[in-house]
Amino acid sequence: MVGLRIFVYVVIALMLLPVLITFPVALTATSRISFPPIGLSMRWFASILTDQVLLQSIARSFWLALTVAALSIAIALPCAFAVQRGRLRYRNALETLITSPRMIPQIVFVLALLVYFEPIRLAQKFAGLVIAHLVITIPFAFRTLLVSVSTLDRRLEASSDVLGATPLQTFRLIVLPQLKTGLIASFIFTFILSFNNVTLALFLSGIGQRTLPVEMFTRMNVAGMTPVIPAISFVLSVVGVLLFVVLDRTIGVYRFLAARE
Amino acid sequence: MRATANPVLRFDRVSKAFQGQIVLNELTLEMQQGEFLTLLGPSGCGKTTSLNLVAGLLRPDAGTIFLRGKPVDSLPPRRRGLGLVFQSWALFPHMNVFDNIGFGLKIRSAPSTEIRKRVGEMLDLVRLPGVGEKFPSQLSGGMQQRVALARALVTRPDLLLLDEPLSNLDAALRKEMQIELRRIHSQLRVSTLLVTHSQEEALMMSDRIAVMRSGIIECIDTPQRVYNQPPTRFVCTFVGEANTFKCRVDEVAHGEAKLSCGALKIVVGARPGIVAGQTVVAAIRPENVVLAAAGAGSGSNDAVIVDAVFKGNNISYSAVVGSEMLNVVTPPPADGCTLAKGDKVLLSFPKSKVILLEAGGVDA
Amino acid sequence: MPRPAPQAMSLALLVPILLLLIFFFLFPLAYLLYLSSLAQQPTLQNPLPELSSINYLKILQDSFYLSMSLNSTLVGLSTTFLTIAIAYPVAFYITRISGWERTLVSVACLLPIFVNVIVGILGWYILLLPFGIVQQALAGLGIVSGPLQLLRTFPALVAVLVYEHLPFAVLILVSSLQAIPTDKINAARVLGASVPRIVLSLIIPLTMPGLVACVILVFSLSASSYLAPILIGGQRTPVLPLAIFSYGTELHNWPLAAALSFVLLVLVVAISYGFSAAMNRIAKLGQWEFV
Repeated sequence: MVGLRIFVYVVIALMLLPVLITFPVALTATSRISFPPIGLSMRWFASILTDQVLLQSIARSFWLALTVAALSIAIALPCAFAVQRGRLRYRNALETLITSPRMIPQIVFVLALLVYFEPIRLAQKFAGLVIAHLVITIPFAFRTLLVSVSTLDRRLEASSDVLGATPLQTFRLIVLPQLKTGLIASFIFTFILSFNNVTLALFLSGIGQRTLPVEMFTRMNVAGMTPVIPAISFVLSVVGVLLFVVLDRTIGVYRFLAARE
Repeated sequence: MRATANPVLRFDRVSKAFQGQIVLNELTLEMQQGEFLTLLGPSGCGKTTSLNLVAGLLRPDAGTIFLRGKPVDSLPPRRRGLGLVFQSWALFPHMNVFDNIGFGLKIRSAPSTEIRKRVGEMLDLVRLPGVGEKFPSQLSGGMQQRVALARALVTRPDLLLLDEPLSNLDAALRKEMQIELRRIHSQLRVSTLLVTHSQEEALMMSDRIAVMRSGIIECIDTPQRVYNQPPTRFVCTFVGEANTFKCRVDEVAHGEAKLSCGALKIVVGARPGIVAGQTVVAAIRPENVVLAAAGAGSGSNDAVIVDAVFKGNNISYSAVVGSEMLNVVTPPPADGCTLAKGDKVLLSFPKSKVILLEAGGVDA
Repeated sequence: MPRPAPQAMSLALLVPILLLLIFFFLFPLAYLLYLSSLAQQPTLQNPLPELSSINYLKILQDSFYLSMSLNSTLVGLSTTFLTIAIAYPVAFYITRISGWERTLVSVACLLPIFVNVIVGILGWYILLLPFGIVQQALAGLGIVSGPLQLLRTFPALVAVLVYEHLPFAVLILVSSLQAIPTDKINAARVLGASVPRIVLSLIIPLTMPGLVACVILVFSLSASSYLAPILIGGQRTPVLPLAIFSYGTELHNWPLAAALSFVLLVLVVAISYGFSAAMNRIAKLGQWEFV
């Protein structure tokens, strides 16, 4: 076990290293990416707040992810109910169809969308990006919500029924509260999936309409990178770690993410 | 209970099948206002299905159900004016006791003052004052049971449906709740339909018992008559214990019929339809068999004790007459001397306690 | 029990998702397939060019594209192998710990999902710079001197891809391993089985489905990965996604890009199913003995 422990902690160090390295690099006083940093200064962290293009891309990512997460649940939840309770004959085929987008490489899918959107003029538009994200996040939301829906106690609904509630009232007052955890988990993980997505956003967001990952990528690949990028990277890492810890301690991460396979 | 003009519930040749299996077979019954009727039977007999049909959670394949004289086929559950308590109680886990009980009133947009008053009344009725703020997970089984009952009754339903509500309780609690249910019923006089497989429950709480088997009602009568004068072998052996014997009618004379089953001899009062040479099934309950020491009286059967089990408030003997085995139950003797294996005794069967069932008797 | 929803109602609830999938998943892919079999790009003058397999022929006959496909396959296989080799022991370790240690190990392993993958690639980029940390560490130990060209190499690309895909493998393997009850392993130990024996004849067979799922997932993700190849791999290791990108967006040769993407798709699917089928065959042949 000792050998295993050492191995695991080496792996942990290697996994954390790329993320941790962004911090000292971002602390440099010059505008070069170098380690050790030349001079120490918080100017690059501060410059995040003055970099209009960057801030706009953050806002764009945020609203995109919010929209995608909300729509994803709105579409996947009725779907989960229909599949779980509808006694459909083609249930298996349906489930396969709904989860099939995740089986296609994203690069193939995004190319298909790119050439498809052009004639219908959805290319480079926010709506197109939302649609693209929905296609790849809904399978995941569906899986998660299907599990939640299948664990509902239907006697609660029957009791509510007999007590005089309409189906709508039963859904609002009895069913939704029961689904609370699944809905929250679905929302958060779908949000993360959309926020962090690069491939789809790269091809489908217009010039000047870049999401945060795309903005970072462009600066890394083409435009020339100042230490503000390591700075925002580090901020993202901190947020990501905090989010993970909070989620793992409350609703548990393995339970929800592992359902995707 | 005299039949009144308008029974609160009526089944008119109701049938229901699931995946080709017939669960209810032209079921017909009437339930009177204010009555406590129990549907009693083994699992699979269709009793829970009947309850679900009344509640509107299922639709009959054929036949009609009437509530207060009106057919209810097109009415969804929420418009039938019923109360329902499940075996698992099904309390809403995300609401506290007060909100659970008040749910039916809140749905009807009752003003909050009235809700508070009525919920308070219900909590007093089920003897649970002051738990309004608690959540179901904080309550014991017995308390959840009472809350479920209060929730069903707060809307003053015309008919209360209970689906094996006591099965999830331990024995002591079950007895306590049986008394409670009976008390609440007599206090409110609410028509109550109970579904159970426990004959003790049925005997203890009901005004009438409907014994069901394979989708039909074999007998519907007061507990006393169901117990003392069961019409079929199934009812006889399902409700209470019984020793059954396939007997030959040896002789009918002087108002008596003499029956014999091997070495066992039984004498009953003659009744129409009994003639010599027939085969009948006779039954007698273990507590009605009279046990006497060897050598006393006539008209008795010689028996040998094979086993004796002390059960606290009674003693259960297994005795053999010829090749027939009997179960006899007696209260513990005053002098404390119980019989033991190998003892010889005399068994006799009082005429009035012998139950005659259909001849031959389809195997229960 | 409540009546099951009537068929019509269920179908109505499914309409949004079916519409979405049909119009924005199936149709685009079908259109892409159609494009890939065109001799040339549709234009306003020539909206319906003739069908031809010229693109596929070009790909299959040109050693440039063939070597690119080979590269993609090699990248995928190396990444998959390494990822699983690392993820398996780590996942096993995770299932045997709890509390804050488990959260810590999980955070590190699942980081590339929670924090944008770009952050990780940036970090590796910085580490692997000619005068980056790795070079400085090695120089400090006296192993190298002068700039170290680590970026734009095959090992660097694979390393970054392993980093990127470790979370997926860990997730699948953890849930797979968690399904094995400890008492089975204890029973084997009591019977005297050695550690390698336990791993080989107990743990691996019982987690086989998870393992297969892992291989399929990691291979398809890494072989079709775009970011790491372009930021770390560069032109030295050309892989299919890069060509798809350049033909699709820069050079606007959609038919060829489309054909390339289907070649990639077929490659990924073929290897995935091939592996899965091979594993099934082995599982049937081998006498897996379960305690």
